[in-house]
Amino acid sequence: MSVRLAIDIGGTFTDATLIDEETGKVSIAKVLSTPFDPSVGFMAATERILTDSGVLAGDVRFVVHGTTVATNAIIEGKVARGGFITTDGFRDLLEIARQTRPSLYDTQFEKTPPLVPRDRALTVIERLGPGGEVLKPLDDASVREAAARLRAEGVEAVAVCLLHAYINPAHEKRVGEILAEELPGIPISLSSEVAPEFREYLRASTTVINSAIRPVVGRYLENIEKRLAEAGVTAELLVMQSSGGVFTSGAAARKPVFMVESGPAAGVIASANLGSQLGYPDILSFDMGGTTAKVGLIQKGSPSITKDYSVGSHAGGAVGGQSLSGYPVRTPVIDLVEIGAGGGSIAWVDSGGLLRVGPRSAGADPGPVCYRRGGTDPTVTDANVVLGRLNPTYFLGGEIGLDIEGARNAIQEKLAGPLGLDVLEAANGIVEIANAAMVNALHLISVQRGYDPRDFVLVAFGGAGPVHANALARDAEMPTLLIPASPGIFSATGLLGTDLKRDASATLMRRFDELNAPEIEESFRALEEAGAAELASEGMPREQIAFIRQIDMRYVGQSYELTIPLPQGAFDGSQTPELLARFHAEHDRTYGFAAPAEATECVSLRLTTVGKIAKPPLRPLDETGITATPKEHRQVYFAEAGGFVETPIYDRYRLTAGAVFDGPAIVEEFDSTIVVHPHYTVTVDTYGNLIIRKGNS
Amino acid sequence: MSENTTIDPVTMQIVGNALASIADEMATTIFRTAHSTVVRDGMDFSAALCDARGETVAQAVTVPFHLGSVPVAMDHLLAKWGDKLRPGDVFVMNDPFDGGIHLQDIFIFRPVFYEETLIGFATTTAHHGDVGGRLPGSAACDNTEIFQEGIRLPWLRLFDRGEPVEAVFEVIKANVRIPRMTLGDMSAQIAATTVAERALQELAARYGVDGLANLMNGLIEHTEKLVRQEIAAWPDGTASFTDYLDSDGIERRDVKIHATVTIHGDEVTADLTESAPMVRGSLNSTRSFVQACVYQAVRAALEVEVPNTSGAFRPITILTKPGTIAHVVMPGASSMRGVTGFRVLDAVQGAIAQLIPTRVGAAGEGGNTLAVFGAERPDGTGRYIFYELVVGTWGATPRNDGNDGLTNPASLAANIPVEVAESEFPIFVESYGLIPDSGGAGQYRGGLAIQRSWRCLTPETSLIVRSDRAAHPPYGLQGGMPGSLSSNTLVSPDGTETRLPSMFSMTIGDGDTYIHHMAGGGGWGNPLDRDPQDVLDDVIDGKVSRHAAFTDYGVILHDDLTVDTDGTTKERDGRRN
Repeated sequence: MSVRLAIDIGGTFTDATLIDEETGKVSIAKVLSTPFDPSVGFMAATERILTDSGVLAGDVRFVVHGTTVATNAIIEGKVARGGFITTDGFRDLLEIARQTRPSLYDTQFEKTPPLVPRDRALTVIERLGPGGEVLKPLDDASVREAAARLRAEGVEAVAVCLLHAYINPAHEKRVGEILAEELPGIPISLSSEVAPEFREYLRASTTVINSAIRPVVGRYLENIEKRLAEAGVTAELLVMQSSGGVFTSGAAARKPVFMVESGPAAGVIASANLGSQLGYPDILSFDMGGTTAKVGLIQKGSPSITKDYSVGSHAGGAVGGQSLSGYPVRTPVIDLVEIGAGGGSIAWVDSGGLLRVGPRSAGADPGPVCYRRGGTDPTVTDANVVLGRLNPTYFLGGEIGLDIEGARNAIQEKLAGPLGLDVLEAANGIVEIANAAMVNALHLISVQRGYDPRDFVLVAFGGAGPVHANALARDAEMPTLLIPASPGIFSATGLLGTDLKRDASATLMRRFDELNAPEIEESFRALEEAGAAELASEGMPREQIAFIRQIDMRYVGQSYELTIPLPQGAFDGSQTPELLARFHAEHDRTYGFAAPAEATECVSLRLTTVGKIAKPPLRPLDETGITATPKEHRQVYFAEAGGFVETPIYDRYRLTAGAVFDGPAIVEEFDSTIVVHPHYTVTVDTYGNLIIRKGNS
Repeated sequence: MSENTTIDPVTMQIVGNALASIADEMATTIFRTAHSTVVRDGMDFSAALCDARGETVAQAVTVPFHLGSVPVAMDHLLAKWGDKLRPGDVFVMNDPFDGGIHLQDIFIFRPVFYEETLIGFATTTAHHGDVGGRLPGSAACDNTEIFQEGIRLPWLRLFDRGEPVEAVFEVIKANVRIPRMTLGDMSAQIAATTVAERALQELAARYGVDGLANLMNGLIEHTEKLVRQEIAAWPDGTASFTDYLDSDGIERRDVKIHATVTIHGDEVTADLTESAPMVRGSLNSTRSFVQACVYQAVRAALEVEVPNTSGAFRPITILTKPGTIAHVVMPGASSMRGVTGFRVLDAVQGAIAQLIPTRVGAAGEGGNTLAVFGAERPDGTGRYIFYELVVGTWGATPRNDGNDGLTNPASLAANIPVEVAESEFPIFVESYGLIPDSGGAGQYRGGLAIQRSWRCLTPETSLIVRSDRAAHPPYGLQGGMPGSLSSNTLVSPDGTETRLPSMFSMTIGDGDTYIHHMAGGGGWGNPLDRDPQDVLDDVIDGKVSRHAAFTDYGVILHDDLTVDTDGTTKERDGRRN
């Protein structure tokens, strides 16, 4: 027997999923997270699932881990005491940042403080020009002097970012060598290795984040590996990257900046894999939990990836997807639009008498009013309880009894009364405002990037996602909604089907009319060799390694690039017309116009090296049958039906493959509740996924 | 919910968010597709949506100075073309005497129709690096009449029912130095209005033409109500404040900006009529731009979060006198009026601070510095214009230290990355950083000043600079000290240093280095009330010297960089008495 094990650590729960590689049988376990030491929850989940499923530790072939440890370290300020070294004259690179702010009229705005304070930001004497030419040679003595100061400061990690190092890494490499001599044992992150990208602040920020979280992530992964070994699991530990592939724990410890969005990426990958297996290549993924909702876009089976991302940025304040605050990261990240609308988002009335929802959240503590943990502010979850959508006696399988009276009173007192609405109108208003914000998010990820949401299947998961998904599909006019089995732990299953992945890039600024094909081919070859060697050293057989080549392109004069996949085969220049055609088409799709007469230029080459890992098979439901029998009925509010309607309630675990039933309906399972609106039909597919479409059966 | 209630609190909130999201989508399109460094890296552009009457209903997170000028631009458009708008039309304008704010800011507005009914306008404004005129970059402090400043476009039809009006494009192309850059940025603006058109039409389809109009109007009235409520809570009163510009654009002289602000009931009046007469150079502001500055000042003082609609403007009255620096008349030059706008903002805020002291921060750097470099490229590939926008720092607020290096509250500029500048232009950025001891001392310290220097690598480079605050520093408030003064220096290859004025146009040679120090932010509150630990932190970070810790703050430090608590208390008590 051989199994794969996935562990996904979230804010409240740590989810474990285990899959039998031959039969596709899935087991799940959920334990409380242990924020003080996440490895405790990690091991508790591992031990629980092995015991429950009767699997021996030695049968685990690999362990995949999704974690927010990297992001949390930054947000909570638990970062290494770091040093920063840059070119003479630019000491304040981190302190100044881009000088932007995310809000128009907020005069109390405070800049995000740099991860390395000014007293540990030092300079060395050297200077490169924009072509990589040496204008001033590196002065070794200035490096040793800086090293001595950092040693005296007791730094635990050092980041180096010199001007134009993306095009010529020689000076950075030399600085790295000297630092290694002067500061033995201290991890050094060079910008030319972490993110060899144009624009000094973005590159510096990425490198500094890498440096700041290296010690904490390294210790964390080491600790988990040790505990796994003690428990008899000797399989390799793989870690989810922000871009959706996995890398080995060794690689993760060196370049942890590639895993800052490790947690959310898993849900998108799970959606993509499920879609590929079911024949839905184009998907919008919708993940709604307690505090936020996240939407992602998958086209032709591949999640869309962005390079403009910030850790710890303010929600909303972004132009062009470029966040105007927080710490920018210039590594590939799965493109997600995240908004402050979750089950715990608080509804309130502003001073002008409008109903508002979020961004403040009641979180898990005190939580919504209906949790009876001292919460007094009405939330989205409270509204759903009052509307009859959530079952007060079967929330998390009945582990939490919901206080429907408390929820109703809070909505009456704080919202309905002041607004002059009745309590149901107010509750429905909360849900509609939250839904509209999420439809906006769906538009942001699709329409704003040139896609029509109506061409996509909506895949909804997370504890609260299936409660709202039908309304979203309706309002965004998406024809098909898919609710996977166990939506509450769906993200963890995504970890089981990911490939080994390594992203690399090289800056190469050339106009297309001056392009030298052999130069491009050589650069790609070099990236491929390095990528293949790295994966091979991690045990990936050569024949399972594939490459994806892409080029960042723009019109001459523009400053922002589009990433265009290169046609297959060695690049000899004959593909240039096809490449240009793809670029113009992509520009037209993204921005609504193309200028084929204008000159174009290449900015960077991007290579993704993929080590293919076989996807686990889907497992069909044991029983088939077209009839679904409700376990009970209750009154559920649907505005489109004019109010409360007697609604059948189904037990998801008793649904059979091929069953069909009409909305209005509620489907309940341990970790989520699915709301089906009137005039929609549910079909249970072979594997137990619910397919919800408009119309009656 | 019934159909005929004036405010449906749910739907209005939903539509308000949708409109804001469309405005941001417009901004994204411009930002990503623009060609000039000033727009795409410096982010000097804006986007907003208006209803069918021309009232603003949403603004993107872009330049407030532009956004506040939209109402006047719209009035002119409607007066001229209001009865001739057709689906597919697009209009262009940059004329300060036809609703514009200076020739560099090109407004591109598109009326949006649902079927045959006008439902609103998509509006964009972008700062263009060159619009022709006597010098590369067009804007120069020593321009003395508008005819030197570039091509002047009163409101013109740019697209006629979807077809480009070639004559207008041809005229623009023939009058600017780098047509590809100007037309490229205009394409970005047009594309943004197309994006908004589609999105607005979807809203009209969903809510109906009348339904959407009612919701937009409701949103404006809601905004007005919120703003009036807060102003009503401020104490009634009148206060005045005088601030100065260093120059008339041509030579050193004090140019007075005087603001009198009256809070009465739920309204605010700002009177700028006692400001200096129009100056010889190009610092003269349009009335509309002054309006935008006053809107910004009042808006920034609000505690309540309000939608970004023109309802916020309604409780505010602005008085200006034609023929003054705050109200340019023909043929006055206005290309560099930005600095006047920043000073109007400072003066109005200085007055408001006396009426509601805990809502207003000390003065920031005094406005972005513009340094426009232009020359023939040494490799023979033609002319370049590098529009460098140096972004400043904040004054201290009643709650916090001023941000060290952050775009002015009235602007939304970003700095231009050194690697971008050096890759695109024959120029070399020598240094860029913060200046220690430049923030005004206070209980809360003013932001440190920014310095940046450039070495030119061409034999003859035209350099136009607009800076300020070399004679009149950014003020502190409530006992806080002013920020440091700005300076301009030219260093020739042999090391000779020449001091330059705040505003100048000149030609510099190969290897010359231009060094600019901006002003520092003002402090807030008595420096002796600053927590000695905060002073120590600044000393450790090298932001405040040990000497200044003593002289400015009365804080005595031990040699091991700890606070001498007893010594400090004694020193501070001595100074207070």
